[in-house]
Amino acid sequence: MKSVSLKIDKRRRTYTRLIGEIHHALNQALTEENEDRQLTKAKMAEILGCDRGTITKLLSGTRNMRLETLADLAYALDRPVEVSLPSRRRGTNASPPNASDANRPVDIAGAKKIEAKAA
Amino acid sequence: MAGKLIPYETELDVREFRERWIDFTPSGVSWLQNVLPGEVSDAGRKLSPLEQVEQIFHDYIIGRLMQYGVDRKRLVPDRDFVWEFKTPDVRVFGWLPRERHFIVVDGGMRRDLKPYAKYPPYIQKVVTVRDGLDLDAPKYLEGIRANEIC
Repeated sequence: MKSVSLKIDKRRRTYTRLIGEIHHALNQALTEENEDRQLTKAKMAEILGCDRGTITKLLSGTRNMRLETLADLAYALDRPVEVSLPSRRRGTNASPPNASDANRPVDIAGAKKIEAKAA
Repeated sequence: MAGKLIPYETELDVREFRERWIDFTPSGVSWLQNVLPGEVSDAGRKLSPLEQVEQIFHDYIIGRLMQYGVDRKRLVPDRDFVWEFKTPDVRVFGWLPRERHFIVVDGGMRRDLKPYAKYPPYIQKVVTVRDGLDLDAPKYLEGIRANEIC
């Protein structure tokens, strides 16, 4: 089966996944707080004494973030921050039920692997 | 061109499951393989453009919410149903043939696409490539509102 992928070494990928987790968690939290009590980026900016654009850039990943900034955003969201490093070996079931290619919505043809490596 | 879609693979952790699919057209593969690896962020960001794209593709595939306006956006003219995936530095152009499925046609750096006037050739390229593919009708998903998960 021909496929394409972006290869990043595992150490670096651990970092990119962390960034992705933080980005996702912050945006998910804001979505929920907005639904529950109409919290907005503007209100978060007011709480933290910055402009709305700064909040937008932090939540979108456009601006780099320090741990202290993450804590400030959690404070503005009125949410605690939880950190977890789950074991890949303890308490996991065998073979997670990944969706198979039989469930692909569009048929494709082809078969050889192409990789683009990180610079 | 008919039938030539190449599936994208991402590394899944043991606790992650595939919820969606991404395919590439040959032009998309060319961009991914020949252009993207050489791009650099000019804003001192922690993740390179390639890493940003790898992360957003991973997020999409494992089923994360793709926030409208932040991670994804439907492009004007709306009637073409062309979509972009957005990272801080990169724009990835394609469309949704079905729910949970994104097909990539091309990509570019955000700094090279400003102002918006530079978008139309990418939009037209998606439309042209899509029209040339031998896919069952309808070839693209309509009616996805801004906050619907796709």
